[in-house]
Amino acid sequence: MVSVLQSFDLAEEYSECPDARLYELFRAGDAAALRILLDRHAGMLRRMARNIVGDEHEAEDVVQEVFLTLWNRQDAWSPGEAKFSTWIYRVGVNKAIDHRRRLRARPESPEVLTRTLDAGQDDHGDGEQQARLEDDQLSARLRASVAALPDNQKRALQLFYFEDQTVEQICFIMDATEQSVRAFLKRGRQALREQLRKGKKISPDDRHGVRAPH
Amino acid sequence: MTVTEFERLIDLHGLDFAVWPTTLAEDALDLMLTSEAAQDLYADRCGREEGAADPVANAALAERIEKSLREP
Repeated sequence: MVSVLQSFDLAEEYSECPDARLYELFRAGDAAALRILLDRHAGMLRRMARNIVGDEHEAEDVVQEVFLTLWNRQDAWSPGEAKFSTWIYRVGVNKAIDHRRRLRARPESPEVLTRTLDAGQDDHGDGEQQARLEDDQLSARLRASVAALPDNQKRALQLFYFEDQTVEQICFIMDATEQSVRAFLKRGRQALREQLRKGKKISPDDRHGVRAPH
Repeated sequence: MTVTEFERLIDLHGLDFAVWPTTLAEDALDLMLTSEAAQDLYADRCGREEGAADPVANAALAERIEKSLREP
């Protein structure tokens, strides 16, 4: 079996080739065949992977893994089985799910942090919120993320998650209405999820709803 | 979860598992790991989504793959 890809000057002829033939050519080391297969199937694989893993960059890694599997596995696909497209999308689904679960298993992964947020999202602080941050690494990571939020969201989340305050207590400390505090918590969690998922900057300071000083 | 239930949930929540209730998402993913019918259903639904071709991304991906395969 050829161990490297080579470029042949036959790309124009390949656009009419069926997938099965392109697959043979790719396995034989033809880079042009790979490109045609990518043009035909990478978009679909990318969409599926993005829907499963939740991140565009991770989805690209999944698509890459799929094509490397095509190359590496001797028994990857044969014409007597399902259509090539059916087969490659099944591989894509499996790779995407495995990738998603590997990502989520990492203690520092954004998914772990957002699950921690989700566990407290009913705001029914019972004094055990801090205990749910099960390890120091997770707690430190969440603290750093919260610190980047606008002041009111940051303060509300810090009081709730790291000082085990109830909503009523937070209202008193922040001199804010219950509606405002719940809004700070909700918007803060949403901003954190977005921040953790996409690495974007947080929007300007949230000042709505705090009672005027008297 | 059955494939029929999975299809109903796709109709309800869409294809992006980020917006599914967490437990249902994991159940659906478990189903897809074991059921080719579920995999094919999901792929078929994804195929119906509109998606523009991305030749730039595909070219970049091809280069990464080719580079991986050239490395010892």
